[in-house]
Amino acid sequence: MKRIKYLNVFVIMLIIIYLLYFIGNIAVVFLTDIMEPYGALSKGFLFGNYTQYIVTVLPVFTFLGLLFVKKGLSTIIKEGFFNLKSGMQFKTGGKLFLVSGLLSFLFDFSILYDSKSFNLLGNLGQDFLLMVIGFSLYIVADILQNGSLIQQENDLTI
Amino acid sequence: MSIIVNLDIMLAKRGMKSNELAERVGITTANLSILKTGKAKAIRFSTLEAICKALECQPSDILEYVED
Repeated sequence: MKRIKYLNVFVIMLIIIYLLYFIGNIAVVFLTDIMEPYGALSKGFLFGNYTQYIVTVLPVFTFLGLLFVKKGLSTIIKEGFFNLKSGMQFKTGGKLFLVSGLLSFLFDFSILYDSKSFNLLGNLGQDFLLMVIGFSLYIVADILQNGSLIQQENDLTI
Repeated sequence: MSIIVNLDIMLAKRGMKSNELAERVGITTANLSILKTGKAKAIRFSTLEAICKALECQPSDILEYVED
């Protein structure tokens, strides 16, 4: 349980980092004119001026996924390892990570295809990593749900 | 479930109370209640053996199969 608590703290820290990222990005894109000099530059990108908005919005799915993972971890800390609730929350988190990874992959791939800049290949790797984490969460959710049923049966074995 | 637990009948036949049986078998009254009400998912051979010993009966006197 100690490790789960450590993981919970890491997830909370990541959520705070994402929040700061969103606040910073929204301030830069919508509230200030810092990006104005780069307007002409972004017109050359595949998505034009919308690129900055897409970059701001894409991590929202990862952020929401993190919130669900945090909820799942809190439930494990409260109710023990095997419970159906945290299984459901991890499954939703996994789905959101998968969606986020897939959308980021499509975005990065289109940018890579358009710019032919192969140093963007690293981004594709990160997107795949996000999808792998999403799948892993799905598997963890299955294990938790099956474990919950087995524990229930064990408790009802007299 | 198609397996019926006839513990109540055997207890009545032997004139024994649930508390006494639970004590003799070494299980809690709550667990005995789960067994009696048919909520149990399974029963250990050791528990069945202890019940049979306490009630001086056979497993078939306690467990019955009824087709759904």
